Order: sequence, then C-alpha cells, then structure tokens
Amino acid sequence: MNLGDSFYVLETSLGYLLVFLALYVQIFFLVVLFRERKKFVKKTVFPDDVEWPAVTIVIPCWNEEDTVVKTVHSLLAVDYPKDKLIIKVIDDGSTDKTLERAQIFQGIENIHLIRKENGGKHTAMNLAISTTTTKYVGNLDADAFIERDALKKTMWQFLSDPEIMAVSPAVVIHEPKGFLGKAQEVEFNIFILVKKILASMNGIHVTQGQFSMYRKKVFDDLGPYRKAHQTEDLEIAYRMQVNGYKIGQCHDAFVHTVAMDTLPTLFTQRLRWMYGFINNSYDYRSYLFKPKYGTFSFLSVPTGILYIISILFSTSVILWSIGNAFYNMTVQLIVTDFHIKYAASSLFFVDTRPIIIISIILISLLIALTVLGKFMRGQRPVPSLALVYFFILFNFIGSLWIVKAFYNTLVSRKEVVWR
Amino acid sequence: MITKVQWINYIIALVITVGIFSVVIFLSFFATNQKMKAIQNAQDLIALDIASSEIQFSLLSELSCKNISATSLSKELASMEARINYAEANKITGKEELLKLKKTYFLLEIRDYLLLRKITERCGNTAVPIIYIYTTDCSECVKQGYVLTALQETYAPIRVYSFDYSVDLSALHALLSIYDVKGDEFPVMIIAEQTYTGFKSFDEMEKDVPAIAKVVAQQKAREAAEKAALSASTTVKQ
Repeated sequence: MNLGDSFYVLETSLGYLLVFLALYVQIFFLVVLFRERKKFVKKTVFPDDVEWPAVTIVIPCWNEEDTVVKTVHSLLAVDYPKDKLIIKVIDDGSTDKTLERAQIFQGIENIHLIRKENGGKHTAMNLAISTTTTKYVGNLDADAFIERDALKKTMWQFLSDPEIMAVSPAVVIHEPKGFLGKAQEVEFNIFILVKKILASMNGIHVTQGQFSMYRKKVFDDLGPYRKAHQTEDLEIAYRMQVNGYKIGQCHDAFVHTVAMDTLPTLFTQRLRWMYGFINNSYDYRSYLFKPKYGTFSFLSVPTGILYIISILFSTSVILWSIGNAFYNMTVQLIVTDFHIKYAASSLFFVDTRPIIIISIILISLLIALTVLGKFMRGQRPVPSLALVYFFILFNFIGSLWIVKAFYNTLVSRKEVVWR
Repeated sequence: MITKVQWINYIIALVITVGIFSVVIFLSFFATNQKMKAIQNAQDLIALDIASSEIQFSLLSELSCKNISATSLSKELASMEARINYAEANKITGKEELLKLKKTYFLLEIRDYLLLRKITERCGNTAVPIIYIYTTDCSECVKQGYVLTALQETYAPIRVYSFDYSVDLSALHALLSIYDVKGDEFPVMIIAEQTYTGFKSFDEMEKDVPAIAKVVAQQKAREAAEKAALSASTTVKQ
C-alpha cells in the first residue's frame, strides 16, 4: 500500500467513524426528545400565592456604557416582589462611561452600585457573592435583557424541585439582523433545545452568564468562581456536575442577548468560549468518559469534543474538494484554451457512497433540530434561509476559532480577554 | 446527587444508528452494483456495435463505401471511458473488478481502432485516430486528457483511444511494441504513425501535429464555405 492509499484509508476510516458518532448523537437527542416529549411542550406554571424568596442578581460590567442602563431597566421591570429583589451592579474598572451611566440608579433602594479595580469577571462576581445575604444569587451580563416573567419562572424551578442547585434560562438573540445575527439566532435556538434535552438527564455543562441562577449554597459548598481560562460560567457548571449538583433549565424563561454584529467581535467571543471549553475539559479530564459522573461526563463534554473534531475534519474535506475542483477546472481551461464542454449529466455520476448518504441524513436531522429549536423559541417551526447562514458561519468560519483556540492552547498559551 | 446514566436511551439510539447505517450501506451497495451492471451492459452493446461494423466491413466487396460510416462507430466508447474513470477516481468498485472493466474497454478500443484503420484505408475516410498512452501517477497525463477530450469534442473526425500503460494486457503490449512505446516518459500519443511524447497543449496540437492541423484547416474551410453559401442565399432572397 503506497502513501496515497494509506492516506485514503485513514481519511475514509476517520470520516466513517465521525459520521457514525455524529449520527449517533443526533439520534440520541431525538430519542430523548421523543421519550421526554411532554416536558418539552409544558409551559412553566405556578400558583398565585407563591411565597417568592429573596434573590440577588449581579450585573458585572466592564465597558458596558451602551447596554448597562437597558439591562438594569429590564431587571427593574421584572414581575417579582420589589422587596425580594436585590440588584448589584459591579463596575470592574471600566475605562468608558459605564459607571457614569449606571449612576442614574443611585439612590434606588434595592440597587447597589460597586466600583472595583479591574480583575476579570470572576472577581466581580465573587465580590458580589461574598456580600450576598439572600439564598439565591444570579448573574446577568450587562449586554442581556430578561423578559418580565423570566425571574418567576426560573425561581419556580428551585421551588418545585429542591434538588436543583442552578437553573439556566433560554437565551435568545435580541432583534437579530443580517447574516451574523440570523446565523447566531439559529444557533441559540438549537441551544435551547439541546440544553433542555441535556437538562432532562442532568447533563448541562455550562451555566452561562446570561441570567443563570444558583442557590448560594453552591458557592458556600464549592467555593467562589474561578478564573477558569476566562470561562468561569463553564467551570462552575463542571464543578457542580462532578460534585453531583443538579442543574436545571427553564426553556420558557427567555433572556435576550445582543448578537455579535461583526466577524472580529464574534471571533473573539467564540475564541474565548472554545479556548475555555478545551482547557476546562482538559483540567477536568479525570472526570470524563466515566459513567459515575453521569451524562455530563459520558455525553455532554464528549459531544463537544466530537463537534470540534467533526467541524475541523468536514471543513478540511469540503475545502480540499472545492480547492481541488477549482484547480482542475482552472488547469482544464488553461490547457484547452477554454475549449471546455460539459459532459451531459447522468444518474451514473451521482455519488452514492454511504458517507455521502449519511451526510445528507445528518444535514436533514440538523434541519429538524433547528426547526424544533424554533418551536421551543415560540417561532413558526419551518426552515428558513438563516439555516444556510448558520451552516456557513459555524462550519467554515467556525473552524478558524477552533484552530486558533488550539494554537493558543498548545503554542502561545494566550488567554482571550473578557471581550 | 449524580443522575445515573439512562442506558436505555443509549441502547435505543445505538440500535437505530446501526439500523440506518446498515440500510444506507445496503442501498449504496445496490446502487454501485447497478452502476457496474450499467457499464457491463454498455460494454456488451459496444461489442455488438463493433462486431456489426466488422461484418459490414467484411461485406464491403458487396457494399459501397458510403454505406459504412466510420464516425458512427461505437459512439458509446467516449462516455464509457468517462464512466470507468469516475469508477476509478471514486473507488466505487474493487481493484480487480475495475481492472477487468478496463481490460474489456481497452480490447474494445483496439478492435474499434483496427476497424477504423481498415475502413480509412479502403474508403479514404477522413477520421484521425489518436492512440493515447497514460499512467495513473502522471500529472501531465491529466492535463493531456483534458486537451484530447476537448479536441475530440471540437473536431468530429478526431477519435481518441486511451490506454493505461500499467494494465497488463497482451493485446495492449502488442500495440505498444508496434509503435515502440518504451514507457520511460508520459504521456505518449501516436497520431498518423508519428509518436509524440510529453504534454502538448490544445494550441500546440492544432498547429504542430500535421494530421490535426489538416482537420482544423478542413473544418475552417467548411465553415467558411457554409458562411459564404448562407450570405449568398440571403443576397438572392433580398
């Protein structure tokens, strides 16, 4: 067997292994979705006479002058007893007018404005948590806005299930615009569905900064947030999972976040997420692929790893094929002095290799997941053009931040700043 | 409290996934078989086509040359080559089966070539056969293949007979020895008893190969005559 044949065998074997695993994960999600279907359509309802507990919501800010006021207003407008809601705005040494803008809330009884030296988001959160007196504490990033009923719906998860230690909401893109906004909207809608599926098996591996709520006991027992490669929200969920703390999800508590509207800002955000995922997963490697640590260890994180490998592999194969076809076409045009004629198409030339058919099935299932994601979001469950944007952005362009995250991990050891 | 892994979900998903994979592999295998059958059927048809022409040729003494059209010989040969090349490039069949298809195809090509030569000698046909020898690991051969395909599609009298040098076939060896092809440099083209070695572009083929230059000149003359006739008929109508 020559080098070319060996490469072909290796590429084909890896390709089949990846499509098998990818198909398995998608089928697995659909199986869980089907078996737990009642949970997915059920809206959060609670009695009128609930004794709502006191909660503290922390808004850590670093250069958020454009959005901080809107974020605090969305919290003030929330349907929750005002005497049970404490809002802590922590300015983490902003260099813009964040503090000045937030000053308009000075004097409002349940709003605390705190200014500190810049130290990173985890330090801002820890400062607020260390002085928190309520039994529940939450985090709302300063570029997110919550819907009026989101807090009650989230808190009801704690009240109806004493074992739940943290609740993650349904994060949606606020007024998505353009190619990037619409692609991110599709992605976030899929997240709602996938997180609900994972939550049904206690497999959530990230309690994102957009309005995740915790029992304060989590921090009392497990310690404060850690820097965790600039992804403290991922690490705290990992820590909770390996310590057996249940994380729930409230799929109809909607939190709106602003989409990254330029490629550089999206790249920076995703590079931070990817770097955090790779490095935290490495830090917690001794807990992975072990059934005793549950779905988190056996499915959630491994699926993330599979996603990374699949994206890199499929992008390489697709780009190689396109490049090869383009090269051949160019050579053909040049050597024939543009005397090129296209052969009549025939069914004979339709590629019927199993890997192609499975890839078509995978894409169809992905479309089905996006449609179900829209349903969970409360939108009309039909495919849209945004799906194409999503596919292009998170497959081809997405490979760039994955490669850079690996480069930073293995070579430069450079962490990505908060923003 | 760590939630126990619900193995039943994993098992159901595994069974469904393996099921889908099995069905897909079966369908793919079925489609490949159909493709192979299509190639074999087409080869049978070509063999019949050539046999028919050969008999026609044997009866030449009783027929006039105008009843035999060299350009209608085995039109399927070119599309057959595209199919075999596709099967080889995409590895849709095993090496042995592919080799068998190639050998059959090369034999058909040789038969067609010999018949074409006989008809050309007897009837003075204008067809220009090109024997093209390549190897699968030669990048210049890929380019030459593009050029020859374009030439064949542009000029009807040109007929390309391509042969993979590495295929072990006695009839092919005989053909190669007749033209003294040593196999030290590729691509090799034999046109009107002349051997050309190395890549030649479309333009070079049109200008530097006398037999092809003649075809080009004839086509241009025919086009010019048709144009003149068209303009004359337009003038008469006016």
